[in-house]
Amino acid sequence: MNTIASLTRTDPSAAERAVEDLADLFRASMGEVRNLATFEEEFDLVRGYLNIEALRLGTRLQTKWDIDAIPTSGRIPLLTLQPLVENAIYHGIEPLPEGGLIEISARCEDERIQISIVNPVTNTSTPHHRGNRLAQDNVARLVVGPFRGAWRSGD
Amino acid sequence: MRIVIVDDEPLARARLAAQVAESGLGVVVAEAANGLQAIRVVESTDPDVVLLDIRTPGMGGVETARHLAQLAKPPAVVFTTAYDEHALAAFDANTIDYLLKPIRSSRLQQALQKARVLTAGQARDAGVMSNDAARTHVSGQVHGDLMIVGIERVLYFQAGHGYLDVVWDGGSLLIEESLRSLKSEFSERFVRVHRNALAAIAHIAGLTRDDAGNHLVSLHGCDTTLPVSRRLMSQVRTRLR
Repeated sequence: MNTIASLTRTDPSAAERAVEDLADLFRASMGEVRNLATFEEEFDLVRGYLNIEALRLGTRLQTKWDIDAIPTSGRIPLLTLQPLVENAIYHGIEPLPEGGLIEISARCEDERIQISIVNPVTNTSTPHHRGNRLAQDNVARLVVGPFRGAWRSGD
Repeated sequence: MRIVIVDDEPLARARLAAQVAESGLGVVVAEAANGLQAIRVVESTDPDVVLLDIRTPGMGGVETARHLAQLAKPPAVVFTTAYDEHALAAFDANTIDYLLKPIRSSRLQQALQKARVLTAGQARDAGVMSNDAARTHVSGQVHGDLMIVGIERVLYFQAGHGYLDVVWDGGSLLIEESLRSLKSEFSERFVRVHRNALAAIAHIAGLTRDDAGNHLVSLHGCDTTLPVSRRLMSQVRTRLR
């Protein structure tokens, strides 16, 4: 919101796009909890979210996608990946003065789809702010519950 | 008033700078993107007020404020934050003010007016140093300049006459703090080896004896050995295990 407030002065069309991306995220977060989205839809939400963060963090945020290996029509509970990417930025980019790279990759193996979100902060780094694990718990519930997926956190 | 803005986000700095200009209460003399930069910039520009983001990367805003408070002419500090709960938990009446982002211009004006009333001396006494968490850096004067060293690079602290010598892997500096307060602040990283010295546990290479049978502690990356008091010997051994 602070980013948008700033952009309305300096770059109104960028502010407009940020409001549109934010509207998509709000709409998704207010929908039915168990809505299934296609991977394509979820990736679009993540891209919109990353657009907003890129405005805020500038060159400190770099992203790399490697998701062509999975069928984009596959289904996933809505807002499964976006909170994890948000976590990755909060704990893995914001604490670093120089920022870094978020890598999102997806693989298909033995009829399972594995999606990895990697940030540059290692376990040996000083914790920025200890989270309450809310995002990971919520995502685990979404994936493991009705969807019968497997969830593994690499912290 | 002369004002410095500290925030890692360029757009946040831009908006705040525009709001300061509109308030007519001050002029932005410099900006910084993180705590270490902020200390340098404040030192060179000598502002009246620092608008300081609590969550600056690297050294956080709270610690940055503690270092600023040690400058010869400490500025008044107004914290900015996007996180309501964080501000409420960490600050009480001692902090000059804190502003929630997106910052309302009317709130910014209130804070700047409050800062104008306070003298820099009162700002120092306002208690930004009361936070208990151990610092990640120590700062002191070297040839008249403020030097800031990451605590993980400090090999040992040694008390002299009315000052404290900080020896780190790139040199040394003098600070005006007591060994006693450093011992309690950095008890996790440092062990007291002598009445006048604290050694960094991670940098200790080993224990030796001199010809007279006195115990000495040697440190990686440093030729100096520190004498170990006989009465502290067992404590030192325990911490090195």
